[in-house]
Amino acid sequence: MHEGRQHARIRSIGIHMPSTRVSNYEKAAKVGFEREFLENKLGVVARSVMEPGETTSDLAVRAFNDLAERTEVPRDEIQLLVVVTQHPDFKVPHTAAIVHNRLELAKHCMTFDVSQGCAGYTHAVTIVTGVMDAANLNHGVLITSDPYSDKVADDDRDVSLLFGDAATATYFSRSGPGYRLIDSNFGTLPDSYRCLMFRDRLEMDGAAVFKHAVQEAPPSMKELLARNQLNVDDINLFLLHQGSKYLVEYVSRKMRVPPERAPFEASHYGNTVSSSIPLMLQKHIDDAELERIVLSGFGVGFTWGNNLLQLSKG
Amino acid sequence: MATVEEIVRLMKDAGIARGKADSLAADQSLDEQGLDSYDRMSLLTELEEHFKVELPNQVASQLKTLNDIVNHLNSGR
Repeated sequence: MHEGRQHARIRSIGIHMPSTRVSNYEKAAKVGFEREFLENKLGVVARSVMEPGETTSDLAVRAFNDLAERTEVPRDEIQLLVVVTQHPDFKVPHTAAIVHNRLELAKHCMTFDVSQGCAGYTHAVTIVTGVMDAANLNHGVLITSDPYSDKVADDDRDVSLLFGDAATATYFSRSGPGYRLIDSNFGTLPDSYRCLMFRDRLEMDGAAVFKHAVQEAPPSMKELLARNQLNVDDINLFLLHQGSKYLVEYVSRKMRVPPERAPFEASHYGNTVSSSIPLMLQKHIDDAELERIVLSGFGVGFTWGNNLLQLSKG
Repeated sequence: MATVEEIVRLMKDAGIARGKADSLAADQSLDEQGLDSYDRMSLLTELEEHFKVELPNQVASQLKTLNDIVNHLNSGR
């Protein structure tokens, strides 16, 4: 980084949440889940579902358009566009190139995809910040778009009630108020990749995913805090991947974080994979009052990633 | 030695099967007493951490009652 230059920080987040909602009550009864289990354990009473035929890039463009309405993004000056997805429009080219074309961004813009799932946002925040600082880029956009509604079997009780569609677009720049990445840590559990796979449809070993999440996420968050001389009480908000209501509550209990500082917000749209964390973070960006926020993503791989963010006022 | 009381205490401390843990019968199936898949997953996780054991799927599926769990833990398998 050039001496004296400021670090990249998150300035604003745009979202796309499909307006179509599908209630889970009828399907839950059909697959043998009680109402209490649906509402208080799974926690997802309705799922957001994209329109038939919509693609990953369609959702991405809509999220960017929302971002552009919320804040002034210098479109011609965007030098980095990253798309987090594991369901690209095509195997080749990368979806970021398609989104770049559809948004009519400039020629000097670096584009690439990040193949990551539920921990994708935390991985990509670190990548985008690192690339911007290393290559002296002033403006970057990070998109998450991984629609699952057309990837799950309708009769699969492990996954058909859980996932929702959404996309987000996060704007990074080197000046102005926002959240700066202070530190991150990551992990990949050996011999665990089979717990979430897509072959001809999404397959999930829910027990394995739950076990890995509760065994890996809390200690890794604690390690991140400890090496920054912080404890749980120094963090205003923990935004945990919204795997299920019970999982969020269980992880936060193990962290000894009260529920109001580790919310579950996906009850009316579902687990939106890499979009789950930025959908929540968006609500805290524009007024930017909280001093420190920890993001924790965990899932596909089985991998996890944590970001420690700090408010930067200018 | 693991005991039923210790496991019930572990469940209560971890918030597992809230409102039910105290009244569980040791020799009846946990499923039949209203524990759901999340209760079972979190119970297995707590057992592994607390007793420093591994409970792979093929073992866990055989632990249907509190007595089954206690017997398995005390058998040293």
